[in-house]
Amino acid sequence: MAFIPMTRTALRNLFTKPATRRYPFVVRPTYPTSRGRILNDFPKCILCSMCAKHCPADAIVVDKAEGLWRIDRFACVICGACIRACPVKCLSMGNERPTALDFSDAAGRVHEHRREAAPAAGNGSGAGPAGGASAGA
Amino acid sequence: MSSHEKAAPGPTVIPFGPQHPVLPEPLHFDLTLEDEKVVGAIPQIGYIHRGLELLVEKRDYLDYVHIAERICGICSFMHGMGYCEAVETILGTQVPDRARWLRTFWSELERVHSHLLWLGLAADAFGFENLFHASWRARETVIDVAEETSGGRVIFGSAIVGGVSRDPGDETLRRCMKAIEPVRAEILRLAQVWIGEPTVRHRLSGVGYVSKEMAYTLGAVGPMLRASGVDYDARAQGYEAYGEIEFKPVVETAGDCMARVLVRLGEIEQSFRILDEVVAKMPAGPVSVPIKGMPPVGESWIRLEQPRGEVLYFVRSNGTRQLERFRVRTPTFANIPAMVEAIKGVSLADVPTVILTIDPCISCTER
Repeated sequence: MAFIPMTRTALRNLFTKPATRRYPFVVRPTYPTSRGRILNDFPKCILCSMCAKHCPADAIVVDKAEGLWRIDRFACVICGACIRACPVKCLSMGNERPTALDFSDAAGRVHEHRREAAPAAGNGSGAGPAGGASAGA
Repeated sequence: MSSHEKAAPGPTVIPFGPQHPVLPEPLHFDLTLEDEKVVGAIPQIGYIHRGLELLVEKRDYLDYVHIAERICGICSFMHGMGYCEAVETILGTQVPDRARWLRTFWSELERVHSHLLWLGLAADAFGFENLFHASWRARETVIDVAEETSGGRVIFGSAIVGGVSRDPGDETLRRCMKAIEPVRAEILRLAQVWIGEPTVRHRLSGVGYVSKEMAYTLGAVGPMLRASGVDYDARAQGYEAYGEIEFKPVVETAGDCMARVLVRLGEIEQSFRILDEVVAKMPAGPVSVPIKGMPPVGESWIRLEQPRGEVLYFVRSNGTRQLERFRVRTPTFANIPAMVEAIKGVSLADVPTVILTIDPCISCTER
């Protein structure tokens, strides 16, 4: 009698689908709340570097002079401390998960935004033309 | 005169671990054997020390919670929550009601998935692979629920100083409780196997006995203590929402490996009941209060009941944004003396089973 419960489980395993998925072909969709990756709505970003200061993994680098915001997705622990620290709420949590393939090269691991005309340059012209002019020269 | 004549061998010393097929984490034992029987055991830890306690001196006290969570991969939420509670005590912060109940929800969810993980590992320790897989299959649904409610599968990341960072919403909580309903039925079926299966009984009954006096004197905690008949559960202090929830500690009296299995099986069922109650009684309102400024000079300590037993957090603040000291006394560390006593007298083949039944978490222990 004692054998019956496990026998039933064992037999059921023979006649039911596997509990696992054929992963690269069948991907479980993530939930809207899943912690996927940190996204930056860069036009809103004021490069205040509060996110970098609060990051427990030191994954974010902000350089105001260079107009640079960079996140190392390998170092990021997706805790969301940067999102809570952000004063202009330009950071958000995306729910899509990066895969190993996304991380296969440096471009996938390190994600950066760059603002062409840094405020420090201060030649008075708009961001777009200044960027274009420097590229042309 | 010949070498044959003086061959009265002394006790054999067998090194056990840190790399051993049955150990999920590095723990080393020098086992002294007479024939197949263990007469002495000297434990040794120190293989995965990461210095997480020291980091508290370098990080902002509000951000350190994410590091505290990473002390352990299984009771992660409770480590974060324990740190938050200790800091909130210094700050004198009153956490909103809904945050207290959500913390209770995630604590119990974590207890279920930790115990299911352990049931699998314990089955694996004595070679019952089918039971191992069945336990972990059930656990998968519980982890999915954790992801849907908190965003993380094992590191929930939702405890913050002043409350919780996420509010899953009542609708999601109710849907999640429906989703884990089949797990409850599955666990009842697995419990019948654990209790009724003669091979399981043969490996666990009467093995690794710890008497009530010994468990109490050696300072055992958690299921190890309750399996020896001591009626103690740190949740009874009523931290978070536990003061408003009806529950009684699961206690067994046999003190052997089987009793420790029964305690954990009972606690899974108890956790499901608590989860039901928490979702039914979940109050509305905000989930966090904003924390501003520096913590005042002071210190505090608090105790929680983790899946593995009672854990203690001590925090001391010097009035700056970096705390001066953070200390965790983990349940595994408290259970090691009792485990050493339990190992003495068993045969070598039973050592993995006895080690597994305290549910050792070496990452916690060494931090």
